[in-house]
Amino acid sequence: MTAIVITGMASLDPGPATTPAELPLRVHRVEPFDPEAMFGRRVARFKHRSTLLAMAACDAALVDAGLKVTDDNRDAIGITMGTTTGSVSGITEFGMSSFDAARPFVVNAGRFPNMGLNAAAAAAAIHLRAKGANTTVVGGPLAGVGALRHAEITLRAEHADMMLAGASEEVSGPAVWWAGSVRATAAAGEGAAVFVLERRESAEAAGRTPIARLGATAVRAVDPADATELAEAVSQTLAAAGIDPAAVGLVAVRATGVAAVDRAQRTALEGLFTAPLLWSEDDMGDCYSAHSALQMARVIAHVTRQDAAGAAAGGPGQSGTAERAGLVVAVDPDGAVGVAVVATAHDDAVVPATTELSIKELIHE
Amino acid sequence: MVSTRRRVVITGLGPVSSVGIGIAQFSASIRDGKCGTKPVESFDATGFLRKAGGEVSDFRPGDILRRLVPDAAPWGRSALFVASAARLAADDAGLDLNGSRAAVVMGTTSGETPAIVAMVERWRRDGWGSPDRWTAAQVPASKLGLAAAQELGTKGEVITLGAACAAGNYALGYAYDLLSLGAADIAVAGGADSVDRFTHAGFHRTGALAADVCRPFDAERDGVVPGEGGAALILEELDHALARGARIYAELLGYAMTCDGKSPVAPDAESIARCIRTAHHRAGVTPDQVDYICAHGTGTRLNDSVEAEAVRAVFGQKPPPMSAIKSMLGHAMGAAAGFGGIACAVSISAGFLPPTLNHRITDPDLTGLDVVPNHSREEKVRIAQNNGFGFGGNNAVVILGSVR
Repeated sequence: MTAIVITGMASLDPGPATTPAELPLRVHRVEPFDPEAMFGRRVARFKHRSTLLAMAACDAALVDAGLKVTDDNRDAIGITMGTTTGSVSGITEFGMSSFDAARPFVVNAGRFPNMGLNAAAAAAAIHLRAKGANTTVVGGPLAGVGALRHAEITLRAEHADMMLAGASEEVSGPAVWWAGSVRATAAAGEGAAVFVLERRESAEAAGRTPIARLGATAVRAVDPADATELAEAVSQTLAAAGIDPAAVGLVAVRATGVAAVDRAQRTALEGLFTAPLLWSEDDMGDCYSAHSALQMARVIAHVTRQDAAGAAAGGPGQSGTAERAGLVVAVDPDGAVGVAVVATAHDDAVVPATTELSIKELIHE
Repeated sequence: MVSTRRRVVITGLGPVSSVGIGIAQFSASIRDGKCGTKPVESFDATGFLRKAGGEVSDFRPGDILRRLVPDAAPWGRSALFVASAARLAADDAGLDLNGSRAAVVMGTTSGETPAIVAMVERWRRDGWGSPDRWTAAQVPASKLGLAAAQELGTKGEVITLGAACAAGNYALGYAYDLLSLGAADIAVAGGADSVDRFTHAGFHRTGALAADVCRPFDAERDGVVPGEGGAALILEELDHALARGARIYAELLGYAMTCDGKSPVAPDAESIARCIRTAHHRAGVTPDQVDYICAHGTGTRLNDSVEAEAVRAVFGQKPPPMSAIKSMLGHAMGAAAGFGGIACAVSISAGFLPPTLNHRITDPDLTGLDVVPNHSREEKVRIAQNNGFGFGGNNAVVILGSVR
């Protein structure tokens, strides 16, 4: 089966927690971030923050990949962006004036597109004039993994040759008030991370060097408090990627704030791996929609370092036990788990013909 | 066209719409040309000059759902639409998916806007502060897919997609890809949205709202009638369906996605035409083989003329019959393309073309169009094309055919 590789990535990470004057809460913000300087006044004014962060991450990921959107490739470049409800601030700003009983229809028409969940993916496509498959994955804490999943399938089905996949989250008054009432997690954070995905042969034909291989992805309905179901989803995704648990060097995971769910995911992951679990709450808070994408950038950076260390030791680590992979696990306490496995760029694991086959084989064992 | 792919058929249909709940009622309504739009009731429309909406006013999820209990957990209206649609579709297919690895793929434009509207209303009244927890917990649009999965008890892939008003076709398409690539044997795909104050205000302000009824492709068309509902289709790998003796409505032959990458709101004929051509190519059909087009057909001046232009660019001056079911249902947003997919499947299996209702005179600028005005028409449909276009330039076209 065709390998999907990552040829570029970028993340806008939030900084340490601060308490801005306009918010009564501690938050992790991307600072400095100057969308007006990047995109001009008009764009900065009409787009909400999660869109602007996503656009900035797309730009930087393309630069990282050495990929330019031109007339020759724009029909084949797609975008898949993860979100949870678009932008709470964008919808709030748009709709607030519609409660005026005399003239409820007097809303700001220029902000109407902010009502759609696809605002960020669409704005990025317009900004880049990227005309390939353009989708939004609505995934809560799974949004980043879901975007990678969607991009993987879109590439395998040959709807596009290159996919920009990632997710964004914003810190704004409405978003933070909303988050605070529904999630008992770390301080609200924001950010965006975007990855350039391609089929290995087309990346190589274009002369772009992979930084990692996207081994396998899954987004699955589970009982999130059931450690066995979580462990099964993770181990089946690893098997689909052709990766042995012993080869995993880092496992990123997010605290959901639901005790039974957090216990279950810790049990599942500590049972499968000896590798350390990466909880990112201390330095980036809970970046919710962007969380798994931001963590994926960290995992890829780690895997790349493993790869470099392996090369220095006499060859890329390809044996069964050498550390050559990492994964991101995202659990939505409302009932889903997302898993994305990445391996070193040189990794040539014999990947089963289809994901389904590997799952069936595993079950029959 | 990738020839090694597995074939995908449609074996169950679950509409929850303003013209009927369940496939029997829905089919009868789109055959008889029933109009489901009337002044909105789900929010206080005082002050709006145009008030028509396509609401599912007799929606009682408790009567349909078997595992989800509507008031036991904070499910929003869209989640309940899509869970109910999924249940109806699974029943229609004769499938018990509890514990199965069936995939669930749902599309939506805005998700749970009524819940967000309620939060914003309270912020406006009381100032900033913690919103009501029950309302706030309904907000994640990701709960649409989860609601359908939990209603059916599936333990397979679950994903919710946003692609504005084309989201239903994106869901059908992604589910098709999963099945054809071998990542699942069964998928439940569709979408949902709910009528809400903000969307109504947005269409109103942009001059896109119809005064009373939706008249797609008519010389005097004046806009959309915002609607709502849930749509779900059971997609099944062909051999899997044959092995269990399933009734097959139609085959899903392929689909394509394009993005305009131009305007956040205005459609682009070139990009839509490219989408149609790519869909034909991927499905292995030629324009002359298409018997029916289920139009995106929103009823705005711009959308309908751009859609007609794109269709003529691909099919020439005499395109196949193309009708707009939004004239009956209203524009159900994230469910719209799902309803289109259901209408196409029914047109193939039952042999009729659904009408474009409220039609008086076809716009003389849109020459050569046969919109199947006002009355459905008995006709054999071998290949049907389902158009879906959305804000942000998200286009997707799905091609369905009779099983051969």
